[in-house]
Amino acid sequence: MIQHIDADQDGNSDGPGCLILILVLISLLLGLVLLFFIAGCQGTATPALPTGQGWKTIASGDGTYQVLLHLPDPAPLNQEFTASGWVLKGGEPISDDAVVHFDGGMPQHAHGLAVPVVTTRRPDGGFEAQGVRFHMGGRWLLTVDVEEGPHLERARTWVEIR
Amino acid sequence: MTVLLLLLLCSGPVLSNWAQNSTEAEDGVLSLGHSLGTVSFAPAVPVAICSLERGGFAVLTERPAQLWIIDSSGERDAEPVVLPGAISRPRGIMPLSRGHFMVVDRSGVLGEIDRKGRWVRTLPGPAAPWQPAALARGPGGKGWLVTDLLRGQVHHLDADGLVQNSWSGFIEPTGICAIGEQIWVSDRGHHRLIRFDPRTEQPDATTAIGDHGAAPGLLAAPMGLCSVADRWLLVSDRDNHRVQVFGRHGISMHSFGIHSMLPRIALGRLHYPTAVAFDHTTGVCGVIEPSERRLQRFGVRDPESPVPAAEQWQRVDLVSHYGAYWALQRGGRLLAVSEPDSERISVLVRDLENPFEVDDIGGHGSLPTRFRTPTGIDFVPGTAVPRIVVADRGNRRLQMFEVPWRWTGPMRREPALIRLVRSVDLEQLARQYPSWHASVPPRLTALACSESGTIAVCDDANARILLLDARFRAIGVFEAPGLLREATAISADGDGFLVADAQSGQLLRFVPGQLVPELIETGSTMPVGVDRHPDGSIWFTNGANHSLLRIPPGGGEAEVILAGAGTGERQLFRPRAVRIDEDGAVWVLDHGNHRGVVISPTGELRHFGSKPYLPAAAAGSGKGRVQ
Repeated sequence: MIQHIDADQDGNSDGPGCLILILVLISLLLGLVLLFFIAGCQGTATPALPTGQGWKTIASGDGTYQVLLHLPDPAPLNQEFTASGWVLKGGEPISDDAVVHFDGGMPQHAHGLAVPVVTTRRPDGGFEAQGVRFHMGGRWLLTVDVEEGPHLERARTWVEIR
Repeated sequence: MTVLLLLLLCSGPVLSNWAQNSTEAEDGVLSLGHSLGTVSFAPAVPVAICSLERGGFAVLTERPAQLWIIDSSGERDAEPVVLPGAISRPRGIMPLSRGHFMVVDRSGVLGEIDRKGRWVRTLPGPAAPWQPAALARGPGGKGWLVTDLLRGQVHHLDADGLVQNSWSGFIEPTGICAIGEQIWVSDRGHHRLIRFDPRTEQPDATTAIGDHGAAPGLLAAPMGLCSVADRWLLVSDRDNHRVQVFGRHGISMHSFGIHSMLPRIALGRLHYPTAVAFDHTTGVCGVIEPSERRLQRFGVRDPESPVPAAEQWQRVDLVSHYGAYWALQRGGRLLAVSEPDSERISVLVRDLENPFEVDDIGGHGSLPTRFRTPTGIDFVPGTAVPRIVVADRGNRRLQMFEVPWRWTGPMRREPALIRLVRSVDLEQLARQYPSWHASVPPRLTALACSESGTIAVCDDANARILLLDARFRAIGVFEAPGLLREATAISADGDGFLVADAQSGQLLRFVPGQLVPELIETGSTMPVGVDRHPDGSIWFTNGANHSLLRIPPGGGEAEVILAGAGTGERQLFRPRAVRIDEDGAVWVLDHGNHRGVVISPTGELRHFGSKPYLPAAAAGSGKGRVQ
C-alpha cells in the first residue's frame, strides 16, 4: 500500500504556508512597534471621546470645531452646576491660547442666565464654566464660542429643563 | 433739628450760587417743548448750529455749503452766504467776537470766517489726518474742543488751534461741550454721555451716563450737545427723535419731541435731530433736523397744558424704520434689513403685500450677535442654508449668521431662528495681514458678497475696500487714491464690485487684478445705493435729490425712474439701498419715508411700510405702475 503524505499537512515542512504565517506575524509586530512609536511622538494625548450620560457633541457653525459638552443629566432646575468639556479642531484639542465662552439663554423669553458665568480653560486642555444655573423650566439655548485670534466661531445646542 | 438747621444754613450759599448764574430764560429749560415754528433750508442740509450773543442762531448747511443767520423771531436775518471752498462739508460752528465764527470741516480744516462767509484765518488743529464731528468752547471758555471720528478722540486746542491735550477711548464722539471745568462728550457708539474732568480724569465709557434705549435717561444715537448756564445739558437724542435735558449731576430731567406720525410734520415732532443750541437771550432752543432740511424752534410750554399722551415715555420705543442697508436673498423669499436705530438686523419674508418679520437678532453691545451700529449687509450666494454677513461698525467686525427658514404653514415669528456662525475682528485681522496695515482702524460701511464667495466691505476711515473669503480670511484690498473717497454702497457685479462714491458722485467698478477701477459717470451728486440689473443696466439712488436712476446697458446718460421729494407714488425721500433680484425686480429702500418701493419686472410699482407714508392716492394698496 502506498501512503501519500500531503506536504501541506506535514508539520515539519518548510513550505510556503509556513512562510506566509511568519511574514504575517512579523508585519503585525512591526505595526505594533510603529503604533507605539507614533503615539509616543505626540505632545498632547487626544482625549478619548467621552460619550454617555450628560455628554453632547456639537459641531460649530462652519464645522471648524467639535465641542464635547458635559452637563449633569438631567440638568437641574434652579441649582448651580459646572458645565465643562473639550473643544477639538481636526480631532485635536485646540491650543491653550484659544478662548472659550459658554453661555445660555431662553430666546423665547428674551433672557439669558440670571447670573453670568465665566468660562476658564483647564490645564488638561478642556474648559469649564462654574455656577451655571437654569432658573426657569423650558427650552434653553446653549452656546459655546471659540475664539482664536481675530476669529470667533459658535456652536450651539438646545436643552429641555424640567 | 439742629443738624437740619445747620444743613440749611450751609446750603444757603450753594443754592444762591446755583441760581445766580442763570437768567429767567435759562430757568425755563425744564419746560421747553412748545414748537415756535420751523425754518426750511431745502434743498440744503443743515449740519451745525450755534446761538448768537445778541440772540438768534447761526446755521451751517451743506449741498450747498452756506452760512444762515436766523434772528430771535425765527426770521432769516439776510440771504445765506456761501462758505469758502475749504468748508464744503461743515461739521461745527461757534461764535467769536466781531461777528466772526470758528468753523470746522469734515476734511479736517479748522478756521475763522466772517459774517460774509469770507475766510479770515486757518488754524492748525491736530497734525495727523482727522475727521471732525463737533466743535465747542473749552472749559472756562478757554480754547476749543473738537471731536475726531477717525481715531475716536477728543482734542483740546488753544485759541490758536494748537493741540494742548487729547483723549482716546471713544467709539464715535459725535457731540461735545464743557460744563464748568468738566468736558461732556456724546458717543454714538456707546449711546452714552461721557463726562470727565480733564485735569484729573481719563474718560471712561463704562461709568458714563445712559445706555441704549428709549426710557428717560437712556439714549439712542446721541449727537449734538449744548450747555445752559452751566447747569443743564441739552442732548440731541437722534434715534429717539427727541431732545433730552440732563442736569450736570447726570440725571435726565426733561425731554421734548417725538417721532412725526405724519410725513414732514413739525409742530413739535422731531425727525432725527442732530444738533441743538440754546438762545440765552430769549430762552428759545433751536434743533436742526438734517433729514427734514429744517430748523425747529422750541420755547417754554404753557404749564397749564398737559404734555400730549404720545410723548409720555411709556408710549415711546425704538421702532423699525426699514433700516439703512438691505440685502435680498436672490431667487429666494427673504429680505434682510440692517437697522442701526435699534441696533439689530431683521429677516423678513418679502414676497407678501407687507413683508413679514420672521426673526431679528442684535441689541446694543460688543458680545457676539450684538451690534454697535450695524451697517452693510448681504446674503452669501450659493449656501445650502441662507447666510448673511453684516458689518458692525462700532465693534469693527463682521458677523455671519445662518437663517434656516422654511415655509411651514402659517407665517409666524421664530425666535432664535437666526444663528451666529462666525465673526472676525477686522482691526485685529488688519494687524496680521500686511497689505491691510493702516494708521487708523477700519470704519465699516457698505458690504457685498459675490458669487465667487468674496466678501467686500468698505472701510470709510482708510478709503478702501477690504476683501475676505467666506471664512473671513483676508484675501486682498481695493484701493484707488483720489478716486475712492466715501463709499456709500457696494454690490456684487459679475467678477467684480460696483461701488457708489458719495463725494465724487461717481460709480466705480473694481475687478480683482485690475489696478485702476472703471469709472462710471452718473451725473448725480450723491449716489447712495447701487446694483446691476440682469439686463445689464445699472440702477442707483441719488440721496441729494431723492431720486432713483437707471444707466442703460450700453452706458450713456442716466434716466430718471422715480424722483421728487415726497410720499407720492413716484416720489422718494432720502432713498438709500437699491437691490435687484435675479428676476429683475428692483427693491428700493425709501429711508426718509420709512417704506420700501418695489418695481416688478413688468414695471408695476408697489409700496409697503407705515400707512401714513404710503402714496396718498393708493393708501391701503400701495400699488401703481412705472411708465
